[in-house]
Order: sequence, then structure tokens, then C-alpha cells
Amino acid sequence: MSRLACIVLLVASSACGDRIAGASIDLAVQIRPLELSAHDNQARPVTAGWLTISISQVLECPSMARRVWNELSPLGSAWAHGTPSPTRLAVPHVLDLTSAETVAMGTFKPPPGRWCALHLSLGPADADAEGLGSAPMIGRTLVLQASTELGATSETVGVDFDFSADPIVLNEEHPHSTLTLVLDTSAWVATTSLTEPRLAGAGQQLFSLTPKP
Amino acid sequence: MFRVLPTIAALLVALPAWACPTCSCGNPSITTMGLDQPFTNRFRVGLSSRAWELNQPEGNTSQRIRELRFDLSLSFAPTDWLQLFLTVPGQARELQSASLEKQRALGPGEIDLAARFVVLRDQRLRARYLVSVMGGLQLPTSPIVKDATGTPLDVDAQLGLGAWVPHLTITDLSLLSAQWAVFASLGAELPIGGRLGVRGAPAGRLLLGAQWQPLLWLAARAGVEARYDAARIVNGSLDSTGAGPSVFAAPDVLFMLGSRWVIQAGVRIPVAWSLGGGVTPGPIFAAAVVVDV
Repeated sequence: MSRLACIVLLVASSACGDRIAGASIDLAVQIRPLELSAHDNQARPVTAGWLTISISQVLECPSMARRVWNELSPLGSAWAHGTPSPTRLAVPHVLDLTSAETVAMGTFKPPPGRWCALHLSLGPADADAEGLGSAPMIGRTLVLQASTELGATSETVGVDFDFSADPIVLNEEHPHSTLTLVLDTSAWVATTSLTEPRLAGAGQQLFSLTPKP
Repeated sequence: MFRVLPTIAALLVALPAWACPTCSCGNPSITTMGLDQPFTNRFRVGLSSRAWELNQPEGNTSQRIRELRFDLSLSFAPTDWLQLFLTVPGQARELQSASLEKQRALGPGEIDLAARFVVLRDQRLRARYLVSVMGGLQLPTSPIVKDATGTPLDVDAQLGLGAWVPHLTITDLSLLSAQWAVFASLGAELPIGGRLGVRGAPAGRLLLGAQWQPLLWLAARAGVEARYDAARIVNGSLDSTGAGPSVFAAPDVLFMLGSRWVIQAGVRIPVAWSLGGGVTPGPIFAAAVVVDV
């Protein structure tokens, strides 16, 4: 009787689950470490730096009608921030600019279809940001340090990548793809003001999209 | 994200038998467990099943949840004014997201303990009018279900919210004649806690129905079930997806087999709803069998 009770309890307390993968796009950022000599116009060398990516979003290829509208419309695009979705990663990531690592930003789980663009939002980190560690990044987008802090900014800046010429096509045969961004800050740091760094307009200089595998 | 609707299903909970199968002194209507007349030392076992579905429209955030569940229910009445309930669910659930990813969970759900007190009746035996209050607590007994890599499934694929859920329901049954009865039920629940970043939200529910029993062994029932779910909290923010009012038509047919067995089959047909995120409820199919032990 007690054995039967044990079996019943065991069955009642166990559960099983499985996951059948669907369409997905992995996003990673490969950091090229900041060259510490890249401070041509500065008195002090940069010894540490961090940058926060707060939002990443993959965008579906527009229909022909939408393309025409986008070309003709005087209105710009707006981005809604903060809420995660299958096509949006909303967990901020703090990137160490002096490291030589590849950071996994997360995985988009979009519907099957054609995906043509990636939007990044560089913005302030919060206390739950991935990779925050002991970096002084809460409420900040970028910090540059020498022996003491050189400069910082809390700007929110959008960076867009259009790969509609060679879109990601997700279907049953090819349900998975990867987007890898290369982050190289050396050239930008060499020309920007370290005490009052500005990210606006610098996105394309900082990031490049590697060819898809 | 979907919210789970465990207590819509709870409205369908197991079933009834004759009010007094052993002494033939109760009212003769076939009544639902929770509405029936308790008798001292009455012990009943019920097994109910339900299949339901929720859909979120097409788009990047589209989802579909499907569930088949079985509830084993035991009830015991130590007196004629108190009935104790234990319900143990077993569930199979599937969550399909926009990416066509499927997450499946199979296992035990959240055990529910309840006590029902009869607070008003017109006469001790053969009562034609019965008002009762049922209070209970749903326990966070469902395990966190993980996939093969050890990663927990999404909260909407889990078999329960992992919250303590006290609930209170007032029910009323009135026997109008030998063939007709009407019933009403008003209830509320207040989840405490949760898991995987989700905290449950309060919900209220209302059931109004009438039963026609043309034969001693056959009854047909028609009713309306209404429910309101407040927005739940996901990662510290209110998430109104799936929150709001929903109304179902509730036809049932009940069969009495001998003096101990009752079989019920029915469907809950969504007729009106306004749920956050455009969530659409599907029909709920239900069947149950109850036996007096």
C-alpha cells in the first residue's frame, strides 16, 4: 500500500515539458577592444569605457505599398521602447569597450517571413542591465574613463541597419539565422571630445553589420 | 501574453448527483456539485475534463494556448451544513507563438481545497431554496515545467501560476417546480504571489442559469457565465493582455445513471468579450462524471 502511495505521489509531483523550436534570429555584438592609444587629440589615455544598448528590434520587410508610402511620406518613423516582444529585445546590455568578447544579446523569435532591418537604441542602463557588473552605468549610455572619469552621456540614440538587399528569410527549411554586429569604438574615440562625448550621428561609425552566415 | 483562466474552468467543476441518493429525501433536481444539498457523511468522487483554447490575433505577438485538463474531485459532508472539497488537476498544455515555436507541458496542476457552508435553506430535508458560501484556497502545487535544456517554459505554458489563490463564492439554488430550477453563483479570487516574473490578478465571476428536467434521469441546462480579469503584473509592470470581461453561453445536458452516477456534457460558447491585446477565447468543451461512494 505504501509503495502504491509512493508511486502515486511521484507521478503527481512530476511534470514534463518540451520545446519545439520555431523561427529565430540570434543577435550578437562582437567587440573590437578600444585601442588605448586612440586618443590623438586628448591629453589622457582612455583606459576603460562602456556603452549600453537598451533596445534591439528586427523589422519585417515592408510590402511594396509600404515601400512606396515610406518613400513618399513626409513623416518619419517612430520607435516605441521598453516592451519586449518576439521581435524586440528590451533588456539593456552594458558592453565593455575594452574587452575582446562577443556578447550574445538575445534571440528574436519572429514569425516566418522576410526580415530586412535591425534597429538599435543606445540608451541609459538600469540596475537590471546585463553585463552591468561594477560599471558606473546606471542611468548612463556611455562612460569613458582614464584614471578618473573623463566623460559620460545619457543620450538615447537610434541606429538603423538595412539589409533589405539581402534579407533574412525564415521558413520551414531555414528557420534560424544570426545577426552579428561589430562594435569598434577606436576611430570614434580618437575624434570625439572625451569630456563631452556625443553619440548622436555616431552609430554607423561605431557599428557595422557582418555578412550573414 | 495570455493570462490563464483557471476559474472559468472552475465554474464547470464536477458534478452532482441526486441530492440524496441514499434516502430519497432531497429535492429531485440534478444539481451541480457546489449547488446541491449536503447530507451528513455523503462522500462523492468526480472526474471532469475540459478542453479550452485562447488565441491572440495574427502579428508578431500572436499566440495560441490550448489545454486539456482533468480534475479529480472529492467531496465529503461531515454535517448537513458543511461540505469539504479537494480537487487535484492533471493538465496538458501547449503554447504556440508567432515564430511557430511550440512549448508543451504535461503534469499536475494546482490543488484546490475548499469548504462550503450552507447558510440558508427553507427546510432541512427536501429544501427548495438553498444558499451557501464556499471559501477555498488554491495551492501553488504545480511544478515549474522546463524543457530538455532545463530552461523553464514561458509562464503561459506552465500548468499554473504558482500563486496562493484564496477564493470565495456565494451560490444560490431555487427549485421552482418538479421540472424547473434556477441557480446563481457569484465569486471572486485574489491571487497572492506568482512566479517567473508574473503576479496573478484578481478576478470575479458570475453564473446565472436555469435547468429543465423533463425526465427523472435527464436534464438540460442553459446559462450565462461572465468573468472579469484584472490586469496582471509582469516584471513589475501592468500587463492588460487577456484582461477584461468575457461572457459565455453555457448549455449542458445531464444524465442520471441509476441512483449514484451522474454524467454531464456541455460547452461554453464565447458570446462577448473585450480582452486586452485582442485575445479571443475559444469554446470550452467539458464533460464530467460523478459517483456517490
